[in-house]
Amino acid sequence: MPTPSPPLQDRRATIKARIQQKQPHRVQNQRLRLFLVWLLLLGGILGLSARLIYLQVGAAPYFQKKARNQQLETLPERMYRYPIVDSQGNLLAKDEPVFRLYAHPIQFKSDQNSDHQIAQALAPVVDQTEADLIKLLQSGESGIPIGYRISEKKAEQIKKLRINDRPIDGLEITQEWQRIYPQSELTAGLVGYVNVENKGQSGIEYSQQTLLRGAPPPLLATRDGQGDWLPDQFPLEPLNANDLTLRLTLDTRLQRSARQALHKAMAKFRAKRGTVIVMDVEDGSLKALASEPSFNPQRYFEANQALFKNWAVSDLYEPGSTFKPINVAIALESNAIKADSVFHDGGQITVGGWPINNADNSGHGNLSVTGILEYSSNVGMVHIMQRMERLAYYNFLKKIGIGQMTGTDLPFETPGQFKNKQQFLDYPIEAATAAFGQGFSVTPLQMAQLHAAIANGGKLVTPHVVDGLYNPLGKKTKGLNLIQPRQIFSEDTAAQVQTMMGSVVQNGTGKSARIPGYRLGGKTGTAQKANRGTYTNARITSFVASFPLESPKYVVLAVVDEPQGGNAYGSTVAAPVVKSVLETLISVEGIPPTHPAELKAKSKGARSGG
Amino acid sequence: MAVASRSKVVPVRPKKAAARSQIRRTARKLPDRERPLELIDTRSPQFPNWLIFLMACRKLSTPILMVSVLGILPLYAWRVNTQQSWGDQYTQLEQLQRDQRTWVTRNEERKHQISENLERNPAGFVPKSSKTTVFLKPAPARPPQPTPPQRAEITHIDVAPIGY
Repeated sequence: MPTPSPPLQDRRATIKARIQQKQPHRVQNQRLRLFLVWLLLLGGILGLSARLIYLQVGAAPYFQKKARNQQLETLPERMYRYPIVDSQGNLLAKDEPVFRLYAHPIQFKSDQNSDHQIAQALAPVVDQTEADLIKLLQSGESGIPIGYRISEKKAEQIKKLRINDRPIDGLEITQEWQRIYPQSELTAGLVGYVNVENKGQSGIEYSQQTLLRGAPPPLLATRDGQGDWLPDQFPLEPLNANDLTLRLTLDTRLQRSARQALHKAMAKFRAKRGTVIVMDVEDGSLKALASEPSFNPQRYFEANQALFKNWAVSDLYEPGSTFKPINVAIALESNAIKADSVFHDGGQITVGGWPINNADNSGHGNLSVTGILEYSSNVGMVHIMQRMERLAYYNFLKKIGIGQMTGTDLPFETPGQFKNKQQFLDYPIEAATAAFGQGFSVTPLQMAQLHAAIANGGKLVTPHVVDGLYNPLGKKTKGLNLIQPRQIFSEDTAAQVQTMMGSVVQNGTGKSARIPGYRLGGKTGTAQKANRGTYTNARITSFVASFPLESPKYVVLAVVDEPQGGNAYGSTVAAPVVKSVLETLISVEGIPPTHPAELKAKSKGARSGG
Repeated sequence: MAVASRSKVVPVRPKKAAARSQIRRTARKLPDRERPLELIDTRSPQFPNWLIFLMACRKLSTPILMVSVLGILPLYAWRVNTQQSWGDQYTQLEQLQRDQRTWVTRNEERKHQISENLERNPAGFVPKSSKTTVFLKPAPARPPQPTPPQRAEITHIDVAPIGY
């Protein structure tokens, strides 16, 4: 290494000297100072660490809770009651959010120039004049109701209202639910309605409240300062996972057809009321239940309160001749008669001092059981039932549920009326009138249930309209606990009576219900109405059919109350209604004709005739 | 001297090891205020290992810190942005659901209205019924035709062009 030259050495020495001169003077207790600073810093670090540990561990639950309270909010309820749909998914009832608007003028900001400007901003949205609104706003300090049943869209508009680029303080919007019934009168008798407090008052809305109001657990999510939802704590499952739907067994297409046919018949005969029931005989599910007159569930407050109960379920009537096939089944089942037994119909019979006539006041001579049903002979039926012991007859009627409720899922069901045992046994006229379906009463629904028992091979099924609750994936999550079907007739008996009913339509009083290409079993009924113990001229006409005759799947019952006119019978009033409903049923369910040749012959005839 | 060529020199008071005796000697000679400062090399083996280790850590951690700060900033921005855009999307979804609800209700109401109107004024429409339904006889079931067993064609994959 070369030695630096003397001038360079000098220069370096000078620099060193200068640096040393600039060094601070050594302070004697520098070590102590250093130590104190170090201690201070260490203390600071330790203190901060301790605080950190306290916040993160000791006080963590408290702060977590506090933060959660600030950030987490329940997601808005998606509905109050589950929607109701028919078997095809058509909407019958559904909740829609509506809003109520209150004003609290005490909270109005002075720079928003209060009442006048606010009224100006609100007027177009709430459909009120500015002057009216100003008057309203000046009527109090707080809690002034401005509007109710405000739509979602308008509520959004109100929330976004700005005066001087700032939201209006002192306006409060609260959400409520409104039940919408898109089908209006069509299904009102079944679905029912809810009142202002969202409580079911009739129909399924009333009887199935617990099913419909299954509150799903509240869902929580975080919100940012502006009130928008944040994704980090958002529920993972789809929000609609708990949105169940109550599905009915109803088919609105059939319901509509039933209602139309009923309207027509009621208008033609100026009838007081009517009902049509279409029931699946295998499980008792109702495909249609139209009761007229009906009401608009949306405007229930304007309706006649008597209509809130579906009269097919809550009102009793004497079934008359439509009960005859049931009596025949009872007699056959008890071995009192045989299917080929023959009875003499002399046109009149006296039982216990009371004369009993046929409806047409004439005798038909010797009649088979089928003949008795074809002519709907009262005298013949009395003969049949006289073959049975009265006690056995009474017990059988009890066994099939006469005088009791069916256990349907529709509300306000009335148990039928039936004479007490002693009276039935002591007075022979009681059993005689019961033979042609008078002297006791049932609901139209129970009548359909009894005929379903003949159509399905003897099982008494429970009529119902609720299928169950379904989740969004279409899986049934909850059904109803209905009374289990029980065998009341043997299959043979049921089949024999079914054949007889086929003959009634083919050859007897039920001819007006015949449908070319198809066979059906049926029975007409025309009964005098009893009022305070005596029979009046008012009638109640009915027709019941089981279809198709060969292997019945459906029972259709039409009852028309108090049709006017001399020609008002079960065959003229109710049978065409049933026929019309069956024609729709054939097309809706796609039931192929069992006798296609008839259709061909008919179309040929029509072609040659036209 | 090699001092000029060294990249990093820090003025530190020498304290330890081989240099110590020499320094003490000098110190004894000079009063405290005149003790010279020396330029020392941090990489010098005279330093204790822990100090060298700490310095190495600092050297390593500084760039890591800078990179992570630079990296996290956009990440943070992205996260905030995602949350916000998610919120916007969700609001939009809510709006769509609201529209759908209204649409479903109106649709059902319209359907009912049309049916009611048709009942009053059929305007040439015929309700569905057995009279207007055509039932076609299903064609007799055809037994499945026996197909001659196909000879499996052997394709030479190695010959066929697989890709270009």
